[in-house]
Amino acid sequence: MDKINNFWEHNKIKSGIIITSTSVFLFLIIAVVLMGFKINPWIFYKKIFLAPFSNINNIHNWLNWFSYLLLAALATFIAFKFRIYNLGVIGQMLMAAMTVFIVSKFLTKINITSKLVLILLIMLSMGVGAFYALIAGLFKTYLKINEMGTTIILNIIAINIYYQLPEWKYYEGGVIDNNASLIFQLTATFFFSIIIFLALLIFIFITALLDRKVFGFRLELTIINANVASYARLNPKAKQLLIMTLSGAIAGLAGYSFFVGNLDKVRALSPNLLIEWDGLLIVLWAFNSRVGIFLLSVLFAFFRLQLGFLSLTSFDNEIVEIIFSVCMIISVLASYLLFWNWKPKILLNLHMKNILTTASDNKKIPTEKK
Amino acid sequence: MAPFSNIFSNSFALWAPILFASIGCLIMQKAGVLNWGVDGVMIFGGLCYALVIKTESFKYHHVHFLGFFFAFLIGIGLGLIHAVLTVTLKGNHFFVSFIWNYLAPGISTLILIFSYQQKNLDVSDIFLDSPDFLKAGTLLIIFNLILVVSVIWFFTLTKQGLHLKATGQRPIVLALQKINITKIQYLAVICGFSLMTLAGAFFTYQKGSFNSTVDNIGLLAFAIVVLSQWSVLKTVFFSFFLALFLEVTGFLKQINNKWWMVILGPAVLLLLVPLFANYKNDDCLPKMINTPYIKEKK
Repeated sequence: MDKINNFWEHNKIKSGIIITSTSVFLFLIIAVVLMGFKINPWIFYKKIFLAPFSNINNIHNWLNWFSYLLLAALATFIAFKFRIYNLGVIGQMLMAAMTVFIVSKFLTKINITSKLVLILLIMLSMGVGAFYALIAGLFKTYLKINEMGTTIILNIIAINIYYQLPEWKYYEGGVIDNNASLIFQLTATFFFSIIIFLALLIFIFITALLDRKVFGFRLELTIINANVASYARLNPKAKQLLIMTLSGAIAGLAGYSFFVGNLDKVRALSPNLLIEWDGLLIVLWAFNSRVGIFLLSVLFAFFRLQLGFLSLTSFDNEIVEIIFSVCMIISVLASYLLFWNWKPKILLNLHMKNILTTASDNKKIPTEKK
Repeated sequence: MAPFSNIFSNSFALWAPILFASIGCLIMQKAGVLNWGVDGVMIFGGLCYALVIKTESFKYHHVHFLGFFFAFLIGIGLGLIHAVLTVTLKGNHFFVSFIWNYLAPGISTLILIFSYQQKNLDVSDIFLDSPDFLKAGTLLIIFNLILVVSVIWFFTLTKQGLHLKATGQRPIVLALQKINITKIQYLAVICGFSLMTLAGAFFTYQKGSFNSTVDNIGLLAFAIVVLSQWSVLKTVFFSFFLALFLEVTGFLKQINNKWWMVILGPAVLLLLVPLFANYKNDDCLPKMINTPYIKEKK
C-alpha cells in the first residue's frame, strides 16, 4: 500500500509521465497545425508511422536511424550522467566517420576488400572517437578548461574538415567501398545492417556497467564527492578521462554507422545541424533515463526517416521544427509542475488518509505503565 | 598593404557579432544561467534587422539604427521567455537552449517564404546611401569599444557587478543580505539575450544578406566564454583573436586553397588557451550553472 501511495515520489515515474504527455501533445499540435493548412493529419500519421513498415527495405532504414539515434544518445547520456557536459558528440562522430572512410579507400587501393576488415574499421572508429573525446578530457583534467568550450571548438574543427572532404583526391564521389559497408546481403532483395545488434549490445552493456557493477558505483562516488573518492583511492581525474573516452568511443561508432556504414555514399551534413544534435536532445528530453532514451530514439527515428519524404507542404521541416520547440516548452512546464510544485489531489487525499489511519492505530496501542 | 588593412578592418567588423554574443553569454553565465543556443537567438536578431531594412515605410537614411534597436527589443522579449523557463520554471538550461535552435530557423524561414517567397534576403542596399564612416565597419568598432569599456567597468567597479558574479557562485551570500537573486538572474538573462540579438543584427549588417544561419558564430562565442574561464578580458581578447584569424585564413584560402586553412582559426585558439589558462583547482565554472536556486524557507 505504501508503494502505491508513494509512487508519486519516484522521479522516474514523473519523467515517464512528462515524456509520454509531451509526445502525445506533439502529435496533437501537429494535427491542429496541419488542419490549419487544410491537410488531413491522418495522411501525416500514415506516412510517419506506417510507411516505414511498408516493405523490408524501409524497416531496414528505420532500424538504421534508430541505431544511430540510440548510439548518439547513449554517448551523450554516459557523459551527462556523470556531469561531464560532452557537447562534442558531433565532432567525435565526424572524425570517426572521416577516418574510416579514408582508411577504407586506402585499403581498397591495396586490394583489401574483404568484409573481415569491418571489425578493424569498427574498432578504428571507436578508437578515433575516443581519442577525439580524450583531447577535451585532458584539457579538463590537466589544464582546467571546461569541456563545453573545448568540445564545441573540436566540433567546429571536425565540421570544417568534413566540408573539405570532397576536395580529397581519392574521394571519388563519396562512394563507400564494400569493405566499409556495415550492410550484409542476406538474399537477393534483403539487406541487413549489423549496427542494430551493436547498438543494442552497447545499450545492455551500459545498463549492466552502471547499475550492476562496482565500476558504476565507483564512478558515481567520484562525481558526487571527488574529495571522498580520492580518500578511497579512486582517482577522480582518471575516472573523468575514462567517461570521456567511453562516450567518445560510442559516438565514434554512431558516426561510422550514420555517415558511412549504412549508406552507398557519404552523408552530407544537415543545413542547420539539427539532425546531428538529436543525440543530445533525446537525452535531455528523456531526463537522462535509459528507458526514455530508448523510447524517444524510436519516436525520433520515425520522424527523421520520413520527414524528407512527406511533401505535404513546401515547408514540412520548418513546421515540424517549430512544433518540436513548442513541445519542449510544454515539457519544461510539465516538469516544473510535476517535479517542483504539484501533487495530484487524489494522491494527497490518499496520503492524508494513510497518516490519519496510522495515527488512530497508534492511539489504540496501549502504553505500558512503568 | 591594401589587403592587410582590409583584413584588419574586416576583422574589426566580424569582431562585433562575436564580441557581443560572447559578452551576452558571459553576463548570463556569470549569473548562473546557461544558453548554448546562441545561434538561434542571433538568427532572431538578424531576422528582425533584415525585416526592418526591407520594410518600405522605413526607407530613409540610417535605417540600420532602427534595425539594431528592434533587434535589441526582440532580445528583451526572448530573454524574458528564457528567464521564465530557466529561472522561474527551473527547466534544464541545456534543454531550454534547444528551443532557440529549433524555433529560430523554422520561424525565420517561414517568414521569408511567406513574405518574400525566397529563403535568402539581400539587405546590402543599405550600404548604397551610407556615408563613408559607416561603410568600413567603423560604426561596429565604436559599438565594440563602448561595450568593452562598459562591461569591464560594470564587472570591476560596480556593486551590481559583484552581485551578478555572486549570483553564479554563492547565491546564499546574497540571500543573507536580502538581495533578490531571481531579479538579478532575470536582468542578466534579458541583458545577455539583447546583446546576442544585437550580435545577430550586426552579423547580418556586415554580411549584407540573411539566410536563417549565422555560420556557427554563436557556438564559437559560447566556446570563447568557456575557454576564457569566464574572464572578461580574456573573452575580449579571444573574440578579437578569433575574428582576426577567421579573416586571415579566409584571405589565405583565396590565395592558396588548402584544406587545413579552414581549421586554422579554431585550432590555434585551442592551442593558445592553455597559455592563458588559470590553473586553479577547478575549471572556474560558475557553481549555479544549470542548477535552480531554491529559496530556503524559514
